[in-house]
Amino acid sequence: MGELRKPFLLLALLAVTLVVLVEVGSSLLTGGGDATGALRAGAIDLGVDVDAAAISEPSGRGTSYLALIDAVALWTTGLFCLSVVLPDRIQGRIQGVATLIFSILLILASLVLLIIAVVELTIMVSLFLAVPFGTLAYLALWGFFPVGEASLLLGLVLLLKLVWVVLLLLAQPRFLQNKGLVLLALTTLLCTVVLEFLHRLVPVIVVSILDDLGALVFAIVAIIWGLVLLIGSIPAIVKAVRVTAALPAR
Amino acid sequence: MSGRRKLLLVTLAVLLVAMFVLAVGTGGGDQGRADEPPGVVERLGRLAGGSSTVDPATVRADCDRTGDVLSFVGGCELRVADPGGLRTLVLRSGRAFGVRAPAPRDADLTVRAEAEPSDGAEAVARVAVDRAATVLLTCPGGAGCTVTIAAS
Repeated sequence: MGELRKPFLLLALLAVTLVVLVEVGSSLLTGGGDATGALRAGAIDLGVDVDAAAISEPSGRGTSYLALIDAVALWTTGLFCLSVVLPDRIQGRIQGVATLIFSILLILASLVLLIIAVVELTIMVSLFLAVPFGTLAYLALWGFFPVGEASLLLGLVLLLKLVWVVLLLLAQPRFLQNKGLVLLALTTLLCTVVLEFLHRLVPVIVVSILDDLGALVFAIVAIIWGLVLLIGSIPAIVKAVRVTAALPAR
Repeated sequence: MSGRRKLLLVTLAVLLVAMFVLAVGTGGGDQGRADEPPGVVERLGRLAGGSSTVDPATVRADCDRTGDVLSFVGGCELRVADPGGLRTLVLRSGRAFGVRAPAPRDADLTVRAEAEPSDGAEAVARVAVDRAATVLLTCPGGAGCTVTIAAS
C-alpha cells in the first residue's frame, strides 16, 4: 500500500503524454476530406448556384482545446514522477516556483485561445444566419465537420485517459485520497464525453459551431485549473523561501 | 484500496464509457438543411447581435443612380468599399432580379441568387460582405430593373 510503484507511474506519464499529443495533433489527424458535393447540396437547399473550387472538411477546435485541461494532468503526473528522481529537499524548492510559472503560462495561453474561440464563434453564427451568401461561406469553411473521425479520436483519447487513471491507482492507491487529482481526472473525462455529445446533438452542418462552443468552455475550465494551480503553488513557495532563509542561520 | 472504492471506480469508468457510447449512438448522421437553422444557432445569433447593413454611401455603381436607387437594363456592377467587418448589403426591387457575388471570409466561391417578389412583398437580396467586393446585378428578360440599396 505504502510503496510507490515507479513503473506504473512512468507508464501513467506516458499515457497522459500521448493524450496531450493526440489532442494537440487532432487538427492534423481529422478533416481535409472533400466536401464540394455536400456544399452544392447545401446551395440547392438555399435555392442558389455556386461556383466553388475544392471545399474541404474542417478539423475543429474542441479536441485540441481539451489539451489545455490535460496539460494540467500532464503537469501533475510529471511532478509525481519528479518526486521519484529528485530528493525531497530540492523538489520542495523548485515545485512551487515551477508550478507558479506553469500556471501563469497556462492561464495566458487559455485566455488567448478563449478570445480566438469567441471571435470565431461570433463569425460562424453571423455567417450562418446571413442567408444565403453568408450561409454558403459558413458551409464552405466549417459546414462539413468530420463527426466520425472526431469520434474515433475522442474514443482513443477517452481510452488513454482511463488507462492513465488506472495506472496512477496501480502506482499508488493513495492517489485516490488526493481530492484535487480526483477532481482533475473527473473534469477531463467528463469534458471528453461532453464534446462527443456536442458533436452528436445537432445536424452535421452546425457541429462546428457547437465544437467551437465546447472549445470555449474548455478554455474557461483550463483557466480555472490554472488559477487553482497558481493559488496552490503559493504556500509551497512561501515554505521554500522560509527554509532557504533559515539555512544560513544554521 | 477497499472493495467498496474499487466498485465505485469501476462503476464510474463503466458509466463514462457508456455515456460516450450513448453519445456516439445519439446522432442519426443527419446532414441538416442550410435554410433551417437549429434553435441553438438562432439563440447564439441573438447573443452575437447579428450583422448590420452596409452604408449605401459606400457603394459605387456603374449604372444610372439616383440617390440610392439604381436603374439598369441587362446588368449593373456594384463596388462595395471595405465595410471593416461582416455587413449585409440589402437590395430591394419591385420585380425579380439576379445577384452574383463572392462569399465572404476565405471561402473561395461565388454565389448566384435570384431575388423574387412574393405575396405582394418586394424582392429582397441580402449579400454578406466583409471586405471590398464587386456585386453583379442582372435583370432577367432584357427589361429594365430598378433596385434600391436599402439602409435596413
